[in-house]
Amino acid sequence: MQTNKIKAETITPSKLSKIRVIEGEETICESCSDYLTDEARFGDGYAERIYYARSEADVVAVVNWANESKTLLTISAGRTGLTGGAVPQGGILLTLEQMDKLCGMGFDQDQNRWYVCAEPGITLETLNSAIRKKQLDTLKGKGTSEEQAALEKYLNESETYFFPPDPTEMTAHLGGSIAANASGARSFRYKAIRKWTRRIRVVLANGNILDIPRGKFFAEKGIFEVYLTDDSILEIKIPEYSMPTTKNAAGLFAHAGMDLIDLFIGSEGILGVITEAEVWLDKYPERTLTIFAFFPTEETAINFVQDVRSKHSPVQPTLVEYFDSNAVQMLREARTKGTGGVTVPSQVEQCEAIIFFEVPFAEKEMESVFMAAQELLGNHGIGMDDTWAGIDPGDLEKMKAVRHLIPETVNALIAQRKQKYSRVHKLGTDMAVPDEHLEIIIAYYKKLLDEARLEYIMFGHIGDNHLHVNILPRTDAEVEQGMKIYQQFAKKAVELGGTVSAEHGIGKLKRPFLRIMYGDEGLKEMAQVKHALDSNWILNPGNMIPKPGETLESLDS
Amino acid sequence: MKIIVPIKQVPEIAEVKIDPETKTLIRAGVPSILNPFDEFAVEEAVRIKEKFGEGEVIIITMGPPQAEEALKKCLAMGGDRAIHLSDRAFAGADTWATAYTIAQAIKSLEPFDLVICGKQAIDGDTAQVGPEIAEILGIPQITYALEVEVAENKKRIKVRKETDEGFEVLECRLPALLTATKGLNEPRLPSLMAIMKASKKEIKLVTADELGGDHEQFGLPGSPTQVVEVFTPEQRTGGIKIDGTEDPEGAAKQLVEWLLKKGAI
Repeated sequence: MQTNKIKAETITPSKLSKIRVIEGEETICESCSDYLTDEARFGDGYAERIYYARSEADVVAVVNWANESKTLLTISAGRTGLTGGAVPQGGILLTLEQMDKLCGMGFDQDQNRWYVCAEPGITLETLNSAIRKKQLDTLKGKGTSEEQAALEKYLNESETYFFPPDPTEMTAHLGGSIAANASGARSFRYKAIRKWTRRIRVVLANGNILDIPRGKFFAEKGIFEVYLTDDSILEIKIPEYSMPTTKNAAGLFAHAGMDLIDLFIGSEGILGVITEAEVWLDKYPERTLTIFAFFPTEETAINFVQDVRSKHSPVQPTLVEYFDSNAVQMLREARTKGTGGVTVPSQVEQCEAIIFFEVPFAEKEMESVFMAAQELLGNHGIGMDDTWAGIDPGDLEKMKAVRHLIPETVNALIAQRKQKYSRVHKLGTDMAVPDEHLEIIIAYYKKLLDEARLEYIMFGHIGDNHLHVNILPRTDAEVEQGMKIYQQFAKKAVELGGTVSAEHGIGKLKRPFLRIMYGDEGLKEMAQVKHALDSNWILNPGNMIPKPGETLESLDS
Repeated sequence: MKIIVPIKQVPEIAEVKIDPETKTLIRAGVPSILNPFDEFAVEEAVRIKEKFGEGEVIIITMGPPQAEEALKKCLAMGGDRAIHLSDRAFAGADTWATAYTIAQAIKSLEPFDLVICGKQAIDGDTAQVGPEIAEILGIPQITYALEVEVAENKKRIKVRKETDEGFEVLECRLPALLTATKGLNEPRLPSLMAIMKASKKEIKLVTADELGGDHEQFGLPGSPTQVVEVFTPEQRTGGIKIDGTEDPEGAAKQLVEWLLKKGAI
């Protein structure tokens, strides 16, 4: 039965004094500075206490205390984020890293799919390794008899399974990844983590817990009703803005008649703390063919993309990635100067653009997959010899190293320039547009950057029209110039029905861009949802939307 | 020219961990790759064949069934056919038993012109198998090859080899055995076409019975050496630091005293 009414539950919280805590701003700054930053090195974090939760009851205790004392609480997961979402701005930091256990295995009869249940602090790496290698001894003898039977059946399965979402940083935590609706290169085929989330448990700001399976609680007339344990009823009104249809749009998920679980997925921790999650698994491909194809022009490469990603394409890739002519030039230079052991293919000397794509296949389909790839490439003037193809793990490793060489070279270049101009930093975009606007947005990026004579490279997830434009300022003045162009890119992407942040989220760093996307009204609607669920604004303050007292104007700076 | 390249499949080094209890390599879940030094060997063999526009490159490995992957990779790099020595009888072989087994397979291919090995496998790092094969076959060997030039008449070979001090240029008659080191060439990256073609090339599976030779020299029983223990050496301690910026003479004196005490001078 579908309903828009959900009943919250409570559990007995732990004693706060029993939970491991580190106190004192100075102590934390000196000995736990890792907790005060993330991958983006967003740097001005501080906190008065760090709590290490080991159970849901611990989480409830800490949240209750924060709510009663109106203390800000920032949730910390793997800190692989790039927008400062896990960086505390005072108050409490609640780390879930010790809630890292698997909870159970199950088989979903309706979906005909396996799923696994885990605590939020498990890394995607650990989760995947346990699932793939079927190393699930910790689950033996645990849970219901049904779960035990499922586990037994899973262990006897001859097929290998995995959890497909791969946001590159596999040290990311499951809970953090769900809170960020993580995606990554392979989301071209597998989509973002939203699609893989079957059920979550969430601790709300008042300490109540919602257990939300997918497919049970749906908004009615734009409203959800949460029946709290103190007999009061919370009304959540779904924002009315329309979301871009790109692989992953930033901001609170909103859709008429939406599933309640989707409100929490991608909410960047502002609505609750995820304490348990069930995620679906997929069959792990027997073999993977990765192809680097070298194109004489960017145009031919983009034409190829249109073909390979179409529904009618004879090969169905998991990812389709792009290196523009400037990125290829960077590889060419690396080849001359030395690459620190990375194998850069000699074809970069003659090509202008590279597309690489990955096709999973079963052993017996090998010939047909190769023939299909040959035909498709041939249609675009690329011979089978103009490729670097890998099915051998050694080659796949070499290919990975080439992909990583680009961001590494960019970072080294920027670090070098920073010595002379202190304000220089990389300006990396994360925008995506709908399929039909791929050529338009690329032309727009190039026009503005070329006119401004800025140095840049473009690479990344072209299959999802999600290119990372890296502007590489040479001087402080070029930083200013680049920032302005960045804003123009964001506006253009939104104008074309796209998103300002297709994978990194909003966090604290990208809030001005969310405003470009949804306007003041949209931010206000998000704030209303936040206010309904967290009236004291304690959870992940400063993420996604401005805190009370912060003016929207101040975000433009 | 008939060129033979013995190769080995090894664990991807970046992922190898040692089991602290049994002190052995944890191989489960570690991807296997073609030994990187063998890539130089295969590449050189294919280049020589291409240069002369004729000949055959035959790849040999001794290993478990999954080692076939490494052979396929060599065939995609341009090898013509492969021989896979796989039998429980070969298991547990040390470098000598391995060299003996591979040498039997090479003998079955006589007459041949050249054998090229990688200088060493990155898992065992012994650099012994290549030279031992040459000894067993009774042919000349040139190790650590950096540049190879086969004479037009295909009777002699000139090799620039790496030594601890620098380089040596050696010349010898064929057949001979070389071991390849990094810098010999830039191994080619397989194209779609190359992988396709490789999937149709022959990989011949050979058991101990089919191979012939003295079976007592195979595997563990044929191995004169045994691994008694694998351990991490203790970190070296000691050493002294003498700062000579203030008083160089005093520092020099201090150094001489210390060296005398240690019996070093």
